[in-house]
Amino acid sequence: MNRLLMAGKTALVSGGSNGIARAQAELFASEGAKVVIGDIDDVAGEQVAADIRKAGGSALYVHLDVSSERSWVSAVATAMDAFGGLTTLLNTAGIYRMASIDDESPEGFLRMATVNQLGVLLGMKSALPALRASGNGAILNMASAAAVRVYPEQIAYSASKAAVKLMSQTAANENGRFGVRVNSIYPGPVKTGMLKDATREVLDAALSTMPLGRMATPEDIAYGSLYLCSDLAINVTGAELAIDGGLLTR
Amino acid sequence: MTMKDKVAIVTGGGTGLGAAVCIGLAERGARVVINYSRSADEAEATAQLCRERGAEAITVAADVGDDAACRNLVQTAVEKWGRLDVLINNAGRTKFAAPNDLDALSADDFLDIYRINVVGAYQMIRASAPHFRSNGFGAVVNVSSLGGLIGIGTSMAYACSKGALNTMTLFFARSLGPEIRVNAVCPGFMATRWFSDPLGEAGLQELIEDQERLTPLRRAGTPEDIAKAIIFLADEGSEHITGITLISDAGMHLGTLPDVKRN
Ligand SMILES: NC(=O)c1ccc[n+]([C@@H]2O[C@H](COP(=O)([O-])OP(=O)(O)OC[C@H]3O[C@@H](n4cnc5c(N)ncnc54)[C@H](O)[C@@H]3O)[C@@H](O)[C@H]2O)c1
Repeated sequence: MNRLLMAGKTALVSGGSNGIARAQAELFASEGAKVVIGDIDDVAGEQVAADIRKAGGSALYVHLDVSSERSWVSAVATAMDAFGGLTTLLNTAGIYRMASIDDESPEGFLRMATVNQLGVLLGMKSALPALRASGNGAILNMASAAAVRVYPEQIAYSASKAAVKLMSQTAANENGRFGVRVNSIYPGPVKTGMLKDATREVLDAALSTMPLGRMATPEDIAYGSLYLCSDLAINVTGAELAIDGGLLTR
Repeated sequence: MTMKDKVAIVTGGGTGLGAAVCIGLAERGARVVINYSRSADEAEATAQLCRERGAEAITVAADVGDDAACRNLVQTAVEKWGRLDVLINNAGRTKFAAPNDLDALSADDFLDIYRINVVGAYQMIRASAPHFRSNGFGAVVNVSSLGGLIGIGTSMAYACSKGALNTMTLFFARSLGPEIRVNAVCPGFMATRWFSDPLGEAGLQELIEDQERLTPLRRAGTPEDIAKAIIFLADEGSEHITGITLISDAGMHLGTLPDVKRN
């Protein structure tokens, strides 16, 4: 009963220096996982890893730019060297920017696709051999409510997250037989730095339609992540878990 | 997370999935009200298993298709422990009917199935809602089916009833928030008496082998798998989740890919 849910597992968490991914790294570590935090924000990432170690967990930080394949290969190698294997990948790093179709540029669109979409592909591609070798692996990709509903002024973001949804299910279908489960999460608005540029009107419009009427905390997202990545969800793959205060019921 | 001293009603809690949920709740410290309609002995045996895990448990007979019985079930729970926190609408029924035999289902077959799977869930939520509100908190988990999402299952009437239950989940999530969260779990396949009663042990075994051959995870689901999904949604850690249908099906809804080699 009181066995730690992530005992014996090693998780690589992209974006773990801040926000949702940081909460995931902290919760997974407190449940017994060894965690490798990969991000481009080195100062914050080193601090997160140090805080986890201070709390008695196993964690290390590695510089990871999710848009670079070379960077992924070296992050996975670091995890393997340090902890002897990899069971769990969390593709949580992402970027957000508001822009209407009229205001979006080719460069802006491709930048969003490169981090949010290509980043997820490269993460899965780099980690899958190790996850398959573990015999019981799990991937969790961070999509968004914006992957399945229309919100104003985020054409590039929505497109990148809709790609993450289908990429997750493709990966789930291809890799189930090799012992790797792949699921995705659909947050509504979450209290992190990411929404600092979102306008008050857009946030209020979302909150007013949510049955639970409040923003999520990073911990809300981390808890669902823990369920999906632990063996509690051993029968769950290709699932789309909304943690959104009911936003998607509208 | 723990569910220490939370009070949970599980309809159809004596057998199969319902029993697995009761035991899972008991392991987390919840006080469990095990409802049954016919399986009195099994319900008592499940209560005993809960008590062996250090939890309190009672059994209450009620046909969830009968509104007065639903109200009595809820009242019994509240009188016993003074509160209600969790409702698991697990009771359900079906009639096996071949998909291409349009005469296999009568109008009464549909209505009998709806009376339990749809109206029963509605009546239980209606009876429970005032107690959840006075708590300021309540979690409902409806046990639905993948069949209700993609139109498969033991019969047309059954799949339609679960489609209705999924719709009810959305509707109630909107109308009962923010105090009450309402979610559904959609199992693909589970090896229980649901199949062995009508098909025999050999029939059940055949279904298990199909699952192990055809699902992406090459795996046949168990009641314990589904119970874990239900408890995840009932738990406080899921307090930002409402109106969802969580699929636990070894990936069946993704379809079957041809075999490829990979190392
Ligand atoms: N905050 C929300 O409301 C919300 C809603 C839906 C989905 N999401 C998704 O959740 C995920 C996490 O968002 P958050 O709210 O925690 O944001 P955040 O900005 O707090 O954290 C994102 C992290 O990703 C890192 N990152 C950005 N680009 C990177 C790159 N190229 N390589 C490596 N790391 C990089 C950042 O440094 C940061 O640490 C994102 O994928 C986001 O799209 C967030």
